[in-house]
Amino acid sequence: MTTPTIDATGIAIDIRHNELQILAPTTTPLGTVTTGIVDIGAQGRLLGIEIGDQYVAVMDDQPGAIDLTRSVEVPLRVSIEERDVRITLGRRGEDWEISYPSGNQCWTRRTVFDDRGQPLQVCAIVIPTPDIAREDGA
Amino acid sequence: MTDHPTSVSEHHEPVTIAADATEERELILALLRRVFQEIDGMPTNPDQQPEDGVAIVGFRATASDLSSLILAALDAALEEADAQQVTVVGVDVAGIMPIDEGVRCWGYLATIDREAPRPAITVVPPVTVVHGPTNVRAEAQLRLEESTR
Repeated sequence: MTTPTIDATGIAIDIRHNELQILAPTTTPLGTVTTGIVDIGAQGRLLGIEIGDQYVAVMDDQPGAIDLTRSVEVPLRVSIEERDVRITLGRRGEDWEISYPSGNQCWTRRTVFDDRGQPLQVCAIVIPTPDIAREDGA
Repeated sequence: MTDHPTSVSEHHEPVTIAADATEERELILALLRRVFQEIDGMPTNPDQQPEDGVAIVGFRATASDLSSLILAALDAALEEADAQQVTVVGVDVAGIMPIDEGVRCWGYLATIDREAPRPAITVVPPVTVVHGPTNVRAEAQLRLEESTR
């Protein structure tokens, strides 16, 4: 059976807790799930996460880099917000690390399209909003 | 659906650095400061296509705290440029992450051949993504340095 895929619509990078929050439209309940399997591609890109009986796609892999993908089981938290599910997981573990999304970036999915038929754009933001310029004196 | 992420630009003023009259160390430091100044606007585009004559080189730096990270990033950039025998003309800090040893940043250097004339550089601050899932940014008041102590 093929795992149903849903596409992440937004990402938040919580630097304080070093966590990623993935927002995606939910199709089936995920409330009791506490672990998932993340796929990490080249340059530490978060390709997606298998959670319950669904797969949440986040970023496209780089062409020709599929051999560099690795998968790891990670603890996570799931919360439901209106029609979306928010999946929260750490950015790194003992032997793995997610470098992208890293925050404040938007990217376009090559093979996924929005309601208007345009390539789906997904954005990641950083929380909290830091302001270290004054600390640096710049 | 909650608020869909959108990118918008805010409070960003381009700054021109007369690179041809600037030591490389000062140039990189100015670029890093500019990026760190706008750190919530960290430009990140690993798929970026370099211009003609410009090569993209990755770098990463680690420091015990955020205040020393900018100098660690400067050292890392200079070391990488030296190893590759290139001149740095641009810095793109892609990400920051607290780690066991303190805090780490990583990103990309735009570089040119050492023999090539160094261009003047206009640092155009990146677009800042201000809307995200449920406007989480509006909830965020804590400072990055607190998260890395």
